[in-house]
Amino acid sequence: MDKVIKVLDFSEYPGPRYISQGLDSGELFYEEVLKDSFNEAVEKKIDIVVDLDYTAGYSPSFIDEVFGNLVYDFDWIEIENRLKIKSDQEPDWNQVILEKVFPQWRKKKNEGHPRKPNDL
Amino acid sequence: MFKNYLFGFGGLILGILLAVFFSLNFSKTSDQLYGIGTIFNGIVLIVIATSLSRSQNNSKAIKDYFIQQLVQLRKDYLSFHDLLLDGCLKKSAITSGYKSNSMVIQQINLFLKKEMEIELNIQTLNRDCHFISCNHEEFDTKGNDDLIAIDLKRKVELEDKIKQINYLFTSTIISITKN
Repeated sequence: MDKVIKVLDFSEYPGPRYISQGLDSGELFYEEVLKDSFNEAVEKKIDIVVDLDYTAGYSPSFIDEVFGNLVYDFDWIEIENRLKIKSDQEPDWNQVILEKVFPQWRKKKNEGHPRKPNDL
Repeated sequence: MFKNYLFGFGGLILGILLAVFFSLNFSKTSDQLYGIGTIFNGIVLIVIATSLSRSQNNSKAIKDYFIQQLVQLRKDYLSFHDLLLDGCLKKSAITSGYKSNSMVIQQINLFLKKEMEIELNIQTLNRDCHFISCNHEEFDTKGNDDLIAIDLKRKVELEDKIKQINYLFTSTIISITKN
């Protein structure tokens, strides 16, 4: 059975990119929710669904930080096979994450850049 | 116009059928059969004329509905971006505004595709505007109730995207009119 994570359970008002920038950030969601759940999904060999619906809306940097970080912590094949994004209200987020966020973070990782600027 | 021609033509055929009908001698079986055929043809003609005219009215109503929806969406979209460019919107209003814009665009697109096989291809440009307005450190460090000022570089980028979106709105409305 798939593991389902709803961003709405984390916050109705998802915040900025980094913890240092404000409440309910993408970094906090990744560190406190998604990272462990994804680890669990890999161990149990199940899929993980991230449900983006019914929040008050996202700043693109929240989305970028949440999904981009996966690239640094997990094998690409695991991400590709296990991650499912549910966004019925704004279906194009799926495309943005697959075609924009992941390629940029994979490039950043492959070029040896740190996942986060040192001053943040 | 087409409706008037249709009714005129239908009336003419019906008149001919009635003239034929009354000239028949109903004591003959062949004339009785011919009479039944004439009546049947007349009924079919009336049904076709009525349903064609009704479907034409329905299709015009659907076109008018979509045009009205697109005109309203364009108006709302442009006024949202006017406020954004003038720095009059709070961070929370920008985030939720982009969400509601996306949802409305998606809904209209869904029905446009289904009913008229036309697409309103503005969602990618809308998301580009979202990224230009919100995907930067200055936006992230502001509080939800803070007003967001857009710098000159982003203003130029946004105005260019909005121009493209406005063009697509107009060309979609023209496609509906021609459909």
